[in-house]
Parts: sequence; structure tokens; C-alpha cells
Amino acid sequence: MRLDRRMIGLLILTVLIVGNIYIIGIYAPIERTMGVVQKVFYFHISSAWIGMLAFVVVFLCSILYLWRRSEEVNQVAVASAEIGVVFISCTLLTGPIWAYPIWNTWWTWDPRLTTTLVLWFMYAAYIALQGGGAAENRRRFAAVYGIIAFINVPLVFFSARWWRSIHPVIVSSEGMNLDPRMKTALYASIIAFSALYVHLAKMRLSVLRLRKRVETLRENLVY
Amino acid sequence: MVYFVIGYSIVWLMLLGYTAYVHFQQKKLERQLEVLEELAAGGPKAR
Repeated sequence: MRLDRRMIGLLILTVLIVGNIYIIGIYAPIERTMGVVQKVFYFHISSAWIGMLAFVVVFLCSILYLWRRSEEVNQVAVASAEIGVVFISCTLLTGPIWAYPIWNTWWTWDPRLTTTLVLWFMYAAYIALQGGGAAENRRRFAAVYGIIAFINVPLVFFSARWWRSIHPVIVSSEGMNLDPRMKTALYASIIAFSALYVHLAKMRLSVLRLRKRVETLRENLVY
Repeated sequence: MVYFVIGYSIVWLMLLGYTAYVHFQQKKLERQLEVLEELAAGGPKAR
């Protein structure tokens, strides 16, 4: 029964990913001025959104951990931070690939780009902090850090609006200024990446639980 | 087109690479757990 549910989940994920590839590659129109490279935007934005969503989960779990001191909640925060860093890495790598043919430079110290890079470093530090073992003090310190680091998430989102930035703003107060087919492709991409986030989080959580069991068993055998 | 293909490949290589990394970690821990459970079941002999 458990295997069947897992297989169904994997099947849905595969359909979403393949459908997403079709929608981005075939269904979404080619932008008139930028050409095919504009299609990088679909997974650039999706990975940024999912990365930030993952950090929202870290923030909420950090608060919950300080309140309840639950090991499970801490594990969700660790798993989410790790996946968030993977997705933000995708964002940071795909951005320059779009920027080079459009801006004629791989990187510029634009507020949006800089804050995103800082965000990546902050959560990489969070993972390093959590990786040091299971001591209660360390987990508590990591939870406080997880709350403080979250300050950078809205900063990344609003940086292109608050400061002079050359980074395009897709979602403005007037809504999304996109072709309907492009909008569909973007939504499909966000849905597929969200499903991937859930799948990866489940996988990572099961590894963390397994590690805990191995550690407990090892301690029991030693003493 | 080249930039699009590079971008697309990077995203999927990273995501699949991470999935494979988690999967291998899971397999390694499952093997460790199996050995430890066998040792635990062995009782005094295992020590």
C-alpha cells in the first residue's frame, strides 16, 4: 500500500515535469526581442519562488521549534533549508545564462542579484550550523538564526522595487504583464517545482529520520 | 538556443544530482541500520 502511494506520487511528479517541459518548450511563445533565451525565465522564477517558499518553511519551523522544542520540526527546517539552497543555486546559475545575451554581462552587483547571493550564503551557513550535531543548544541557536536570516527573503523580493535595479519585475502592483500562454507556462512551472519540493522534502526527511535511528541504535550498542 | 539549453541542463542536473545524493544517502543509512539491527539482535555476542 505504501509503495503504491509512493509510485502514484512519483507518477504525478513525472507527468508534471514532462508536461512542464512540453509547455515551456512547445506551448509557450518565443518572446519577440529576447528570443528563445527568454524561456530560461520560467525555471529561473520558479526555482526562486520555491527557494523562498522553502525559507518561509524554515522561518515558521524555527519559531515552532523555539516554542515546542520538537526534533521533528527541526528536521523539517533542516530539510527545507537544504532544498531552498539547491533551488536558489539554480536561480543564481540560470540568471547569468539569461543575463549574458540580454545585458551583455554574466553578473552585475544589482540589488536583486546581490541580495539573492547574500540569501544563498546565509542559508548555506544555516545548514553548516545545523550539520554540527544534535546538541540542544546548537538547534536552538540555529532556530534563532533561521528567524533572523528570513529578514533577507522579503528584501530579495522587494529589492527590485525599492532600489534602482535593472532586474525585470514580473509581478507588480498592476499584476503580471505577460502573454496568457506565458502566464500558463509560468504557473505550470511553479506547480511542477512545488511538487518537486514536496517530493525532495519527503525524501530528505526520511533520510534525517533514518540517521536519527542509526545514531540511537549505535549509542545503544556502545553503552 | 544554446543559452536556453545550458540553463535548462543546469537546472535539471542540479535537481537530479541532489535527488541522487539524497537517494544514495538513504540507501547507505538503510544498510547501516540493517547491520546495526542484526548486531542488536545478536545480543551479548555482538558486543
